[in-house]
Amino acid sequence: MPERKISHTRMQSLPPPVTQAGKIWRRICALVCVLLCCVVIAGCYHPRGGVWAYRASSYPMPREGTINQTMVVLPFQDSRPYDNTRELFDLRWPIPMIPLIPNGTADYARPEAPDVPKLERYFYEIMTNQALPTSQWQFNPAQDFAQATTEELRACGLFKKVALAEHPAEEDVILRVELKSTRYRAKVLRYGLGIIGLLLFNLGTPMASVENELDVEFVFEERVSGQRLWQKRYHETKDATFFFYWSPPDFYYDVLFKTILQDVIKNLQATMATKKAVFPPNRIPAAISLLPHSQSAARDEAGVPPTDGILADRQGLQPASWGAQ
Amino acid sequence: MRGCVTQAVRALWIGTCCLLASGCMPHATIWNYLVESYQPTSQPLTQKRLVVPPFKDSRPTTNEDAGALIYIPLMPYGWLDYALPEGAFAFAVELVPVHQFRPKDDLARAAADELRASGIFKEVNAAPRAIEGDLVLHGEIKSTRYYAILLSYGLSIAAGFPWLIGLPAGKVINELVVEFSFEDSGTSTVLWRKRYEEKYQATIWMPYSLPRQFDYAAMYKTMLRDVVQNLRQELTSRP
Repeated sequence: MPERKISHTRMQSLPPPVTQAGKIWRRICALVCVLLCCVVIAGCYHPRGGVWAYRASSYPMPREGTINQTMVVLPFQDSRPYDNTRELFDLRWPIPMIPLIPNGTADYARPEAPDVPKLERYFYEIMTNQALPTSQWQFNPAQDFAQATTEELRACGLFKKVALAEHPAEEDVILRVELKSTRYRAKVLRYGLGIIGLLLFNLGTPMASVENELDVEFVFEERVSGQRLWQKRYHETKDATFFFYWSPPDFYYDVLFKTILQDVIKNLQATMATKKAVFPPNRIPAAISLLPHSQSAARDEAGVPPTDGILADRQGLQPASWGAQ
Repeated sequence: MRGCVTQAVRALWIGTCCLLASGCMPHATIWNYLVESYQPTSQPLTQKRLVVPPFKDSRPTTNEDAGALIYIPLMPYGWLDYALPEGAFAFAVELVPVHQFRPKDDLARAAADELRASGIFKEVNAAPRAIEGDLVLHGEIKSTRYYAILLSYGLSIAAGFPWLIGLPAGKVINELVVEFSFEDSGTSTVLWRKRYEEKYQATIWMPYSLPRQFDYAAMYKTMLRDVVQNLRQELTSRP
């Protein structure tokens, strides 16, 4: 009789037998987990690699009354500090595995320097599990900003001619610009959890963040009198958050500068409209008021039908007067 | 005897596997434009100087890398779509960035080199601006799109099996669109204008054939050959 009791106790401790339906249910759960992990791991990335890609806007043709003046954009004065600092700014093994390590930070005053690691590149190294060769941004702030300003001002048609030059020559107005900051701030988030933090990233918590700051001051003045016609300082920022499955670009200086230049053009237009003494409107005949600005000006000056390149574009190819001499 | 046969079969099996696995290596992603060789000319067609300023860049500015989608089971493919390939860190079968490709300058410089070698002009310079009387070749880059599709057949990490038995692993496409205009700066007259569109596409057979990922120099060469021919015709047909 006691033997029977023991056997009864053993029977109670055994788990209930798994049914066929239970087995299928478990397999479905496992498959869903695997699928979820794969979906989370498979991300979408938008690498920019620090390529400056400024595109001037297209503007409607200038209206009657646009001025017949020329402008020179001087090379930007670069007043940015030189400090590029970073602390524990690394996404690579083994730092993220160690608990209680604080967030990593990077603060670059001159982010275009070739020796400073950027977030986008680190992120890609993590995702592809390989070290990339040092990549330099294709960004030369002093030159690129000045070039973009010239292109945008040419495109807007407010002036007869816009030149980018070291010194003013015969131009009527001067645009001086001081570049005060192109600060790049990045933060690598760790939550102090070490390896558990990595699991949090898989669940969708932010991994890192970046902020681009642009601080520029524009001064618009008359060349001969040196009179300051307009002055404005712009401070713009843009930030982005990096997730394990979503990596945005970390370079937005061209986007920020675009916003600034659009406001600059509005302000220049307003300044020119209010200062009639400095910017007397042309007497443009109504018949050619729809032509691009340069032709209106040429026609106004010379009193002859316009035959410049833009009109040639509009009328098709014209016979040329050049050739072997 | 039986052991020898078994070993020979095993060696043959390993050898076949090695042969299958040894594919062609991918080509370097680098801009490397080589100038065509032309017959030397005694006299240039014009005594004027040609200036090629940096090209205007009108390309879109977004890059998208969704290649990792192939890891999702039942997802049949992933893709990479770069409007600015010089900003990408990796390509379909080449996990390295392009080595310092600057389209605005590189394409202008290559055009200047090619036209200098052609002997059509007395002097050809790649310079930021022209002076009055120069001939100017302007270029506008409309597209340098890189597009690749990676096929996983919905098998996620097991996609290597269909690739090994010879199914295509994907496709790579390079697109280059450039518009040239040839002007006389003295008269501001457009003398010739043409838009070129070239496309290169290749199938990826992993690991047997890994095609070139970055074939822009070859496409640009085709364009410039035609540009040289067209400019020669223009200059000979005009007084």
